[in-house]
Amino acid sequence: MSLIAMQKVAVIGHLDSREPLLNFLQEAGVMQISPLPLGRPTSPAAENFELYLMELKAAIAALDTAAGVKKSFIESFAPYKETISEEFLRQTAKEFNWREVIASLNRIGNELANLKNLEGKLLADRRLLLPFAKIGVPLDSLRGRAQIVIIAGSCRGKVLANLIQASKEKLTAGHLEVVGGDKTKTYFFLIATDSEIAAANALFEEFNLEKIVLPSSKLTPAAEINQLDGLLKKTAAERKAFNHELAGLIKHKKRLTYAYDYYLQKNDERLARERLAHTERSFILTGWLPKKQLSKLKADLEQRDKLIAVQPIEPEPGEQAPSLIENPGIFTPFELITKIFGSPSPGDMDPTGPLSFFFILFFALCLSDVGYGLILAGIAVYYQRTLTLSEGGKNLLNLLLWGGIATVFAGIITGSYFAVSLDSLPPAIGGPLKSAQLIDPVKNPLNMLIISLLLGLVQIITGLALGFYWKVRNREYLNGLFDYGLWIFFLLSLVLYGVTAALGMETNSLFSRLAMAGAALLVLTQGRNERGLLKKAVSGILSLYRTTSFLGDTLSYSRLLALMMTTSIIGMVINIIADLTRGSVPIIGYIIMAAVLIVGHLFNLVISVLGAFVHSARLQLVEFFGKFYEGGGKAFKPFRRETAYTIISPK
Amino acid sequence: MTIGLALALFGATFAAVFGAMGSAWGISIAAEAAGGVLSEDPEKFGKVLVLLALPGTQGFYGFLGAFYIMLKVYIVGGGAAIPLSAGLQLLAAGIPVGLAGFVSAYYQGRASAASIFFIAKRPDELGKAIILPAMVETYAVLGLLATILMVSWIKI
Repeated sequence: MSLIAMQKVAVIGHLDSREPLLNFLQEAGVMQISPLPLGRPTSPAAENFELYLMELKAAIAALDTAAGVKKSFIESFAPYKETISEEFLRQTAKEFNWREVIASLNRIGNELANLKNLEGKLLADRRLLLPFAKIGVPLDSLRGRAQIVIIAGSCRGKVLANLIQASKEKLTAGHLEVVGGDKTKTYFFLIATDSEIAAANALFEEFNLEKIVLPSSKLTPAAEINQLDGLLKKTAAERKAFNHELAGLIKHKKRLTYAYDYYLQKNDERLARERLAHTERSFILTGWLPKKQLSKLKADLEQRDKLIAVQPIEPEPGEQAPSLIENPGIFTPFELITKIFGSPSPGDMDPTGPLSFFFILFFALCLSDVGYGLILAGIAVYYQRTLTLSEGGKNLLNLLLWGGIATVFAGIITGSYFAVSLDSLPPAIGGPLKSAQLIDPVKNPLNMLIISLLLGLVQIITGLALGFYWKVRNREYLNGLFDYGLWIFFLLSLVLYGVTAALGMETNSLFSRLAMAGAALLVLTQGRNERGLLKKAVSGILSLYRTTSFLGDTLSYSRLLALMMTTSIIGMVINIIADLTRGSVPIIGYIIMAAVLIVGHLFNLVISVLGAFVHSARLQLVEFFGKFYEGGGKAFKPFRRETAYTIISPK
Repeated sequence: MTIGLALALFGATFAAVFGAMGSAWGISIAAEAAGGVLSEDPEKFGKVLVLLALPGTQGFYGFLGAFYIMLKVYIVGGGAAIPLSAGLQLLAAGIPVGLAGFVSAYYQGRASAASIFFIAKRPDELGKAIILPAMVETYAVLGLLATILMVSWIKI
């Protein structure tokens, strides 16, 4: 439950030892390499790993599309990763000619795109010609000749009669030949003499007609269509061939992912190398690692290679050590919540332990249903067994597992079992369940509201107490006493004063005096860092306004009640709807009822878990951390094996 | 049916309709942002969906408020005889969750959209991205709470 002490080290060695060292460090994954001011690219980019990675990623995506691979919702969070050895990865990446696969993929991609263009053009021509298919003259002779113009066009069927009439009136020697039509359009040729072109065009404008430019060809439209059909068949065959070739490449996908992960290592190695400083024959590497691992690393490195020396060094002035927190296994999942806020800065405390109790309690209260808790825990265990998970994914599922288990207990206390009314159960079952029920939030929300606010008060006071403890530990006794101790005293007196006043108890006057004393002490101490008596007094008095922020923080915990009710009432509604469907149709009614129950409760579970997680986390981050935790640390990012598609088994 | 009962049902209607409208609006704002991000990288669908769902809770809060009023007036059994003043009180009780839900869902949708863009650039920071819109939701929760407490304390 604390920050790990970090040590900065320098590793100095002969240039020949550099690559084995980087390899070793990447494998060990214990050290974060700091950039040195003299560091710069050592080899002028012999191989462009980033380009390789881009090409490989695109190729893998193309093959996934070709294979019709669709990632499920869960997989988009936790993609499957195969475990292989580092040796195998390197071997495959070297022997496998991935460049050839990518070249083929690019070629096929281009060809398919060209074919698609061509097919589009052919189909457009075919569509154009189709209405004129019955005309038995070559297309070229339909373009008109000396002194005659022929314009192909189409109009809406409705206007045809008017159009024929108008063409007879406006054109002395014109003719409108209807050649065919479909549901919406009629196709025709307008034939006119040269001298009446203007009048013919005017007709097109008047009736809003569409001019059709037929392709030029020596063939008749029907023969032309025939020829187009032949070409389309050919392109379809070619496309099929290319798709077949593409399908043949799918088998390389796995090896492409190996190559990707191999070059990912290489690229990380290059980036690490650029952080080193060099002389002609030697290099120096600086970085951070957990102090307790220093002696082992030093021994390992210096034994492996006589040309390497490891030396602990002082950090640069103003340099901040990276933060790494470590908690006993049971608390590790909750580091997730701490990391949402930010790692603790050196000298700050790690809030993971304290927050874990509150988080799990609040999460359980928000869900508070035995059924939902069991399902959530079951789902978490199932995915833990079946998915390949990152560190964060494992933590999240562990968190949900704990949350599910705690929810079962909260559900027993609130008497909620898939939101079924306990009164409707047979007394033999409902009776014992009912005697275990301590609170019914739906019937009596006020009690639960008071409990929620009390829990809030407990967490806020705990936050202040942690701040007090930490100041005392750092020997800032007065700051601890004034900024935390006095506030705890004042707030507790104030609350007890309120409670005793409401209950009309005799100790009331005692607490009122204590609260006043607390307020007076706060006014006297809170301005202690200001200069001048007036400023001290003003800032001391103003500090009492902080009471309102404590009040606001406490009220914020009322969300526990609201979320608890959301879960149980939506569950109740689902049960009511299911009950209504049961009697609707004989037999089928029961099937509908089952569907409503399953889909409805799963849906309620999902949105309730999301709400419970988000709001419980928020209470930690805003209301709890606000009292004692600042964050602001830079997370420790060791140089290690990062992979996208595989997991490299340790040697 | 008494006028009081009708007024109480108006309260339920107000809560349900405004909560739902706000959520529909808020989700559509987030969905527009999501569409843009997904066009670049469809793999982010899962993460984006989580953020997209956040402004949807107000619809449920509104429904919950409505349901609570319905329970109070026993509408399943045809409705209790609610006096006029109690009906007006229940109408008033429906307003906090409806109105706070309506406005907060819209603004939560905007916050979700911002978080969706944040996730587009930093897919590893889902935790932080979820917290931002959740800050807005607090006020819908308070509205719901006000409604619930009023309904449970109103005497009919």
